[in-house]
Amino acid sequence: MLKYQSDEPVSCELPHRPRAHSENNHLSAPPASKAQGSKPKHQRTQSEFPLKTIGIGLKESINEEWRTERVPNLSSEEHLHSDIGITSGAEMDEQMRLPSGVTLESQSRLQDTALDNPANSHVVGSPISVNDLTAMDMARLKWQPSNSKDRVGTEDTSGLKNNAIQKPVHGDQSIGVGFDELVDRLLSQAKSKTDVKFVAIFLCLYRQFSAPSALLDAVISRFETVDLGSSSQAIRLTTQLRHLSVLATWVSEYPGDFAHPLTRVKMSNFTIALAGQRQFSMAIKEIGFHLDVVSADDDTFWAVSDATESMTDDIDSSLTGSSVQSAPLATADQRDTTDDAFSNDKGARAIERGSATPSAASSAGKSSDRSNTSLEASPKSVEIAQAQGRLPVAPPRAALCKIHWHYFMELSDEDVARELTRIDWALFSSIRPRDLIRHVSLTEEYKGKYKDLDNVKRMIDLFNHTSFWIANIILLREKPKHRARALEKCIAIAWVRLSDLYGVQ
Amino acid sequence: MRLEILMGTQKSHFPYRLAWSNTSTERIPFLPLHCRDLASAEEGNPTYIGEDRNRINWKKFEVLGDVMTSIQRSQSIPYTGIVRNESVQRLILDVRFTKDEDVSVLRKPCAYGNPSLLY
Repeated sequence: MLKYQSDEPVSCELPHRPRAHSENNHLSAPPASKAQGSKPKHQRTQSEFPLKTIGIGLKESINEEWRTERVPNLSSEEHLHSDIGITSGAEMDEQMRLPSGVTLESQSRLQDTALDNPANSHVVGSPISVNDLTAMDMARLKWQPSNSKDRVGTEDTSGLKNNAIQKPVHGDQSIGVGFDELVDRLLSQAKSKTDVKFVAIFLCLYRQFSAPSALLDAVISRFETVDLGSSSQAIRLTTQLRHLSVLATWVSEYPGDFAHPLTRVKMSNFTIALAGQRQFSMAIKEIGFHLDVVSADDDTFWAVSDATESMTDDIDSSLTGSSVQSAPLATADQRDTTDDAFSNDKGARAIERGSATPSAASSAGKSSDRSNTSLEASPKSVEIAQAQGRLPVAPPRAALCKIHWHYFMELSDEDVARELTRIDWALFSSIRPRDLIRHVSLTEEYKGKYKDLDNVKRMIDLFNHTSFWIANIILLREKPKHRARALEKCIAIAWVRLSDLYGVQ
Repeated sequence: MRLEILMGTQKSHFPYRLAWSNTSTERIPFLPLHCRDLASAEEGNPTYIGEDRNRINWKKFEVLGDVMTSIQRSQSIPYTGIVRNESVQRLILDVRFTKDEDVSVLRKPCAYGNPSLLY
């Protein structure tokens, strides 16, 4: 029990996890008070339960901390369990089925990482290349007989380029992952850097296979399930706050997902129902604020959207939460003529967001790799960028001639480099993440429907324009010696830009 | 020479990728490369595994997501303090020239070859 005591203070660090996305000070305030109050409670309940449950509770408290720091403790706890008769991981699974958001999926993950002691460190946890995938999975299968399946799914990655990828977190990747498992993972405690990024990646890309309403239903139902659990109030509260923070991130970063009236109604009903409870009031306020500025944008009717599901049948049934959605329909582009019905005032939205979410902006400004899951440029700069982004499309005037050439040769490298970077940045920062996805995944005929794809197109045009410009300025003069001078200057400019950009010398 | 080393296309732009992942200051990605990554990941992997559409190939989205998160991270660090340089901007943007790959052929052929320009 000495070991448990030493873990106690660490588990109370829960509210100070550096999850720097929109989980701002509002959300951390209530958990802090709760965690303090929970300390004696934990100690009290532990002494009442038999040894087995103490071990399980210990494991639960380990869940609450950063996974990577606790590996040595965990493997020693494995020995503790074996002493009292719990040997196989499968048994532990059954006994540890706690209804506090620690689902089977995360159990199997515990199992995976439980074997992550130094002896097996080569098996999991290190970035691997595609070529090594097969060998490593073979090694892992030896240790986890319960997960022995052939790895058909991983061979899909052979179609990719050869760069290092992270190890798959799920043991049975070969048959894919169910939607429910993904939602569980979305809402579960972050245990590694991959999990921290998981929320952002999922929210960006889930539209390829699920409509917003389906995801919202899943999150809400899990939220309500937490209340039925029997774990301590502190754990339940933390779990639910985590759900709410995911929702807040979702609404703030992809408000277009909520533009469909039924989805928005569902969301606001949910927030209204919770607004009365004091412990959620801050989170609900934040969500409500973001919800207020929701309007239809390019996100609303893209990929699997609410409009493609049969949501308009019966408003009542969808409001009471009974599942209306069948499996998501085509992942390909679905288009809809009703987007005209929604007002598209994205500029106004950006302004509103910029004036009232300084915390989101400041967290977006941080550059820590590990914890920056708020992945948008600050709203104000988006607005500026979009305004500036319209600049470079002015019609060209004079033809390129010798005067330009001389002027160019006299300019300093830094000036040209800085200006090129400025223009590039203005255009680049106006691109939203999903714009790029749409750009690569949609065919030409559908692209015209998305206004924001213009940003990507402008960036591409600028890139091509710059490259043609360079070619022309070099080839303008006919004598090789002039061309050589121009070429050298261009290379020097490129190097100035690159050394600024990537810090290479 | 250093430029060739950094942006060389061997091993799928390996030096660039290394520099890109190791930079934490402001940066702008080399979009053609990242778009190509996204396109190949998007098309080379099915979204669903199996006949019914219940099992999602999450690895595909992990790959897509890795590219996206690095780009998003770069967007979160703005360039500050660069002032517009009117004359340079006009020089670069407002000048008319032929945007044709064969332009160097139309002029006197030079000894430097015709770099590939489009992506």
